[in-house]
Amino acid sequence: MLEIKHLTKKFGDHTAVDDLSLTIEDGQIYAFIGHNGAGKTTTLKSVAGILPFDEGEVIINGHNIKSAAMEAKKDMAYIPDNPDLYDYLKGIDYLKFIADVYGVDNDERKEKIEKYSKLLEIYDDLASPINSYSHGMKQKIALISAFIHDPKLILMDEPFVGLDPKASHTLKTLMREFCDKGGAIFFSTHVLEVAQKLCDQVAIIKQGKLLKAGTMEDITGDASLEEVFLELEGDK
Amino acid sequence: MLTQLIKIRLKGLFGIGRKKIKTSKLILYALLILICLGSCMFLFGSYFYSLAPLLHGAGMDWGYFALLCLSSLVITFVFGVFLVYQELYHAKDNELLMALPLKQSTILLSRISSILLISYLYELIVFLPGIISYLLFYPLTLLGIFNALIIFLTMPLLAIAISALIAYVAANVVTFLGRFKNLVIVIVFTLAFGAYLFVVAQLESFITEFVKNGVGIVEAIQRAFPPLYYLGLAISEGNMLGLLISLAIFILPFMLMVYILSTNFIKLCTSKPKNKKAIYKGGGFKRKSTMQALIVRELRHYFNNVMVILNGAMGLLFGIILLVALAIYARDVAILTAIPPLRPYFMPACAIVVVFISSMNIMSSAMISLEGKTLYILKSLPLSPLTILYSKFWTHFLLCVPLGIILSLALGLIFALSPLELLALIIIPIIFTVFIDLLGLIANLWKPKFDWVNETTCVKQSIPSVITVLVSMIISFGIVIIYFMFFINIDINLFTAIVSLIFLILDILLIILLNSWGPKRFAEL
Repeated sequence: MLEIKHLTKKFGDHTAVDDLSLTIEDGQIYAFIGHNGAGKTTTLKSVAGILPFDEGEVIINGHNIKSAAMEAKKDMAYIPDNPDLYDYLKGIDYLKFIADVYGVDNDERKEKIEKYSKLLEIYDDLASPINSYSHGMKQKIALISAFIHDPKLILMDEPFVGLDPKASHTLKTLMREFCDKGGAIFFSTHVLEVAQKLCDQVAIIKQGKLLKAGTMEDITGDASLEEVFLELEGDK
Repeated sequence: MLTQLIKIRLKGLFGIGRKKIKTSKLILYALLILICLGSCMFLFGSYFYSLAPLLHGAGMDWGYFALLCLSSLVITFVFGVFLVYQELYHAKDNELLMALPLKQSTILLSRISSILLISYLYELIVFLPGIISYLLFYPLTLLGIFNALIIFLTMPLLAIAISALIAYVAANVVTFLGRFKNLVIVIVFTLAFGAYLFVVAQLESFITEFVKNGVGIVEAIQRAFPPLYYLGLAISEGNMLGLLISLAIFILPFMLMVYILSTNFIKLCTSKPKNKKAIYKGGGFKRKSTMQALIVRELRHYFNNVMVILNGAMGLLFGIILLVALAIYARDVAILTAIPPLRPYFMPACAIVVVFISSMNIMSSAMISLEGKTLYILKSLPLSPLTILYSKFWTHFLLCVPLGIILSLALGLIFALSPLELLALIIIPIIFTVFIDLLGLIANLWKPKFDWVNETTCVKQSIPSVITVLVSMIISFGIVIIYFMFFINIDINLFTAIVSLIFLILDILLIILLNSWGPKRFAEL
């Protein structure tokens, strides 16, 4: 579903992502972990086609993000770490806007919006302007907008931040269901317990370089992900 | 601590210290600011220069200074009212500052001090050229100059007090207007601005009357507005009683305002607008095309912020005012049609009026900057950069062209233009509007500003907006000046056709630039 080959992104002299390669198969939930400033967000933004990168290739469902950006983006959804949405729109209008851009027909968008907004318990608030929403409510709208067009790959940057415990649980269920139907999720997180329980694969990044990647069992063995992470972080 | 807070506020207002600015850029900024300030000062200076001998001749020097102070006060108020509203009621760092070991009075004082410093800048634009204009003809006593300085320093306090009162009323009233609040504010502003233009238009006849019946009017003003009379006397004659009365008028309302604000500061900072919670009831799923969805979004964004409308779409407001004025004064204007030598000038003159109105609309020059932190949304969606850029182009176009056509039709009817002339009158402003639209968009693509705290800065304090305003104004005035200076012997319609052709070619060149460079540049943002 997603192939990242030798991705390198520089900001001036600073190399934020250094020759990173990863493959995410259909049906996988892939966690991406690393300390603050390690290059997780830069990688996700580069994969999403938001940031132009210097070297490497990103292939989403067979489409190159550089040469076939439209096709690649149609198969993908991106949720940022901080859900800055259009404050001047109501929640429902934002979702309709996203549905219009993806060409989702009327019946399908109605069904999806109702389903996901009720699951995430934000249905009643859809008529309120986004500028009146809390961080968590904005995050819920961003999540619904990601599921609205049936993407094949979802990129999520810290998706659990700001969500209440119930919404976090719902999101984990939704993520599992989405991948069980053949979709793939690549997400960054600092909540290592969640990553260990939820994910099939994990990648650890430090100073833009990939330290380790593989199945959760391969990476952790008998230890916890937290122990492995701290041990790797300690390496010079 | 207070000095530090004032420094931080001023840095925030002027955007100092966010990035290192190159010397060449600094020179460009300074030059642009100098041109703007110089033009304004020149305008006020020439106005008061013509007024000084007139009022001095009638023995009413006090009237000159009263008018000067009143003008300074109005300008300080008009330019400062939105700043006061923003700084006192919508400052984003209130909660942060209140969590620090700072006195409430220190926080409040830091806000007022920074507003005051900026108010002096506004006041200077009118007051300084006014004083210089007078001194070029007549001397002032040392006491008069001293009083003028004291009045200069204290007068903005009254403007701030009035602004704070209006902002307080506005902050409380707008919550009751709900979704119509922006529309109501724009209508009120348009009416106020129309009234202001009407008063300015009548000022000349008022001054003539003032000079003719001086003594009677002096007595009337002394009776009706004694403070204004004493204010004038304080400078013209160095009258100390006049100064004391003026100081009382400037300082007392300000002190009252500070007292009220300081007692309500926490409430003021922590209160939230009373939004009535709307419960979603479903329905309304009508699919739009991608371009329709993008344009509707742009329109909603633009009309969400009154300050953005009032700064970036002044042409729309002026256009509406002009339409109303044409409806009222159509017969008076139509008298010109009885002068046959003027006949060939009607179409070009009407075209330049519509072009001038259009030149005040600079929406496209801020539309990319206004995306701010949400730019990632457009970039992550399956939208080509050209689709995004053209949605902004069409939004500007759709906002400006319909009103331009209505104005052209109204002017065409009043001046009884032939069908061919009417067609030209419709097409020429469209060509110009497309030019400004593309110029603004390309300038914004070149120099976007995403690190804003307040959206208004995208329209008020950004290079693309300044470039677009200056270029469009220079063009609309420049065409007239060039014609009368160099081409007066050429047929006016031929000249108009050539100028239109040049702008049509420029439109095509800008479209080629947008299509070729635009997508690459957008990907870099």
